Amino acid sequence: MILLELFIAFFQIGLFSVGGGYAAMPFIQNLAVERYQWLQPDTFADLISIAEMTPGPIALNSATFIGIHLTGFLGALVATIACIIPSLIVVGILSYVYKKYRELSSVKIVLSSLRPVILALILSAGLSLLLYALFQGLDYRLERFHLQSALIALFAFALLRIKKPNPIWVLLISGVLGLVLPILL
Amino acid sequence: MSERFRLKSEEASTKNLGRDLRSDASEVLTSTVDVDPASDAEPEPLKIEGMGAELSSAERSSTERPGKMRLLLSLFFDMLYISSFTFGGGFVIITFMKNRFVHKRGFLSETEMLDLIAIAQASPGSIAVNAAILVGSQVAGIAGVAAAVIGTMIPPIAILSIISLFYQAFASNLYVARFLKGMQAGVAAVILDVVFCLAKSVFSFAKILDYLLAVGAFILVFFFKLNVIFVVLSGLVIGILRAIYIHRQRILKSGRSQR
Repeated sequence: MILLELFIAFFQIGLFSVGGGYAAMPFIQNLAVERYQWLQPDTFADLISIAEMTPGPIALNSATFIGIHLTGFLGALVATIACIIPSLIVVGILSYVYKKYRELSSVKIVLSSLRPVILALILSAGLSLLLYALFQGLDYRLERFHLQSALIALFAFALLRIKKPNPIWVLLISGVLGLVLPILL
Repeated sequence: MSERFRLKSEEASTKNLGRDLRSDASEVLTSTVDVDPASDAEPEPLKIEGMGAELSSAERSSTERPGKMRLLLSLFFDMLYISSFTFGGGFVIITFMKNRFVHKRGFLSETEMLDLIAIAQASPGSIAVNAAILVGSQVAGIAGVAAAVIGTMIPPIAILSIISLFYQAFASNLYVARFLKGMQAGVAAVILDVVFCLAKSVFSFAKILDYLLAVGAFILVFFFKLNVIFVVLSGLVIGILRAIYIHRQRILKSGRSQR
């Protein structure tokens, strides 16, 4: 039953995305794209772009997007609620612990080991997004190399590193380049 | 506990948003954020609504306190408003919430807010939701949690619902498809840039173990396609072992110094 699957998937996504919005991304990729195959890789890339540009955390935005995509509004609701429940539980526990013992140092030590791991996961997901864009698919052969995407990605990355703009602008510019380059090249 | 909170500027102005998002992204993954009260450029708390930020919410309940319904409505609409305007990175919302709940409404004191941020960052899920839960519960218990969380949830659900429907309708259009393709290349760049930024702060006090964990996790996931959940749980276990080890070291040390 798809609502149940949505619930279980987003419960996991909500549970493991520790340390902020981007942490959810590898888990969404793993569950929604690879495991349940609810999204194609390019739809996933579009989702992340959209989630970047709209208000709200990436996890919740994805929950709504995928929920609607699969079963409509009810799915969006179920997925969003499933995503929030782990927060409710853990925040409840941690705030109780904190009030009682006035310190979170053990938790912080545990988190400090988690952070490098999650960073690595985000890197891995980012690279697979890049490869997908560069080869227009999962088939990484030289013939399939898509020069325009490579140029856009390079330009976007340089822009981000040098000018440090709001990512929303970078995404919009990339989109415009996607429209313009096929005409120029 | 000394969780300290750094305010860059009068934060939420959109001009600074780009920079803030970048620093926010790195702050999100580090748990200590430094406060420098001297550089705090906060406006005077409004005296009209809510008392000064020095009173804790408990103290305030015995002085003047708006009715519960008003509190709930305020929580709901405040979070609705804040949630609608925080784009991209999750940490910006903390600044908004601080301005609104500590300074404008006086629901919380500065210290309570700082504690709250510490817990919100340590918990899974988005900072926005976690912070909403904590503020809601502090101000008005379970009903407060409900009001704050629902207020936080509505803007993303509403906006994304509309966009998803548009997406399904228009993604097949040639021009939209090309635009989206361009964005696909762009978003890969954005993610990689984020990784660079986060890496700076994640590894700032790094021990060898941190580097090993990162490299190991990356190889396992990228090359060996291991399940990410499994990798994260392993990281969790390692983290717990490390915490136990450090805890033991502390006990041993204090035992030695007492002799």
